[in-house]
Amino acid sequence: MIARYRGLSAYNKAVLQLILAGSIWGLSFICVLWALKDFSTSTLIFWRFLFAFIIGEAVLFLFNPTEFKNSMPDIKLSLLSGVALGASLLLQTHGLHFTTATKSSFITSLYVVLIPFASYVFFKKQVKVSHIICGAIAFIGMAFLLNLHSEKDLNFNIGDLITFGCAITSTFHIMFVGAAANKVKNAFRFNTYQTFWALLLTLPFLVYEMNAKHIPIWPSAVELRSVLSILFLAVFVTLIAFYLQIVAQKTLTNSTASLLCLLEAPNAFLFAYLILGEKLIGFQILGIILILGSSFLSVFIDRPKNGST
Amino acid sequence: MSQAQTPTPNLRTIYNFKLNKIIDHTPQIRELYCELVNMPAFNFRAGQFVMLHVPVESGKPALRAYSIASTDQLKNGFKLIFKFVETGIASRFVWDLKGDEILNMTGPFGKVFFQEPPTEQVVFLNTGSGISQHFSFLESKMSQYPNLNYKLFFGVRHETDVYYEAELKRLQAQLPNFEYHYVLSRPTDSWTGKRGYVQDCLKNFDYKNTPTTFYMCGNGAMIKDVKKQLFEIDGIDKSKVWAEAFD
Repeated sequence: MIARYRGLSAYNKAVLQLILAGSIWGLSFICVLWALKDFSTSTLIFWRFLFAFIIGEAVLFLFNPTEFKNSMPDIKLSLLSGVALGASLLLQTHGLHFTTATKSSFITSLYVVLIPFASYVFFKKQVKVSHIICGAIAFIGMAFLLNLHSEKDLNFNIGDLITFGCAITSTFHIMFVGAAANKVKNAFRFNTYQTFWALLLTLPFLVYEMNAKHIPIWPSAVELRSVLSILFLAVFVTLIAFYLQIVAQKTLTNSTASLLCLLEAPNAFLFAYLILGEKLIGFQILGIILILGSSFLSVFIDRPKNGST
Repeated sequence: MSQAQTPTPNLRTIYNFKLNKIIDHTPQIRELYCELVNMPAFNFRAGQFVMLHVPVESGKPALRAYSIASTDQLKNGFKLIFKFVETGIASRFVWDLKGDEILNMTGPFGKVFFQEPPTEQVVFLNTGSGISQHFSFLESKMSQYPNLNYKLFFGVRHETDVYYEAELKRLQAQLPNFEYHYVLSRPTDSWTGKRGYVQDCLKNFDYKNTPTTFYMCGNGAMIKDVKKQLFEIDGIDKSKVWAEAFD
């Protein structure tokens, strides 16, 4: 299997890397649910990012000290994407105080529609019709997947506006990663520091929330499952999945990358169905098909062609 | 375009091209289909090249020359072929392309053109990505001169480096007297085609008694060897030999 993977083209490898990242992110939803039994949202983000940063730095320092030394420029390079990542988390978390999880997920997924246009405006990329169509299909797919029509309140409130801000910062996160991907010396180090900057940005809000709501930084009673969930989130979701995203975006366009990142949503529903036994209704299956279909259509259209010899 | 008119390059005019297609012929050879987006037309003559503006961090872009690899009858774009160079700044840029970029170029440049009226026999000798210029000649002139004796010798190292065969076959289907040969310098035992270097192939056909024009594009050492043979040993007129060298 490893030999077959090695034999793949850089493009196919990148697609597989983001599919794997999407699967890990999809699985993270269950870990967040388990961890939230003992931790608050803000302390969960804090510990997840802190563990990820410490583990990431320790791993590179111990196992590849040369790269640890040589990849110092990645610390600065990761600043913008780290800020965008931190801002996305903050805005999404804050928005959830005023809106529903369904609407939040749906509005956040707007990044697939925004990316082709934002990439044109800020990075002078081509606006491809295929990217716009695939983004729109995936966005409609999200509406089906989230069962949006059954939402009682579809009015646009302040929480939705804040979450829309999250969609914008998520757009910038993918674009910043795309712009930096081919400049990074070590994608693992870049990701560790992306995590660090995101952690720094969220820190003042954590302190504010701890004081305002009297939340302890570490809960007085904590189950092993919650701690393991945070460790899983730190190692697999933050260190490995985001690392895969950076490596994949060396090859993939921002638009295709964003569609593959969106696979997180159907994966979350599939894992909830498989692990938690939650039901999937017909509309949701149609949503999954639309998201998968648009992702793979974009992957297919964007692929580099192999010449005949 | 008529042979008398050569487009004047404007160094200040930057043409923007969107990428329509990326083809990886081999791990070392990449072809880009470029479509003009910011001007009504890009006029060039077969044999000319463009300067690709390679973005350089905190500085002016680096300019790199690439021969156009398609017909000069198309005014809204062209194809470029790139050979990967390990330390090349342009190679890094081209191999990092994802397909949604806009490329900046200036041109056209170059004064190696297809000589008209043509001789009875036309010989192309190229190595690496030197096929670009010769393919542009053939594609641009094939409808005008379909019955000439065209011979193309394409030098590469290994079987795995062979590319563009489908495109050459397509030309062969339309040109009754077009033959092409891959010449491999390091083939495996199973290779049944020509071995050695393209310069060794001069002995394989008659050019002393048949009016012939030679076009060479690619490796400088190959061009030097062929010129030595043609000028110093065979006494061929210099106006019958046209070359564009790059190493």
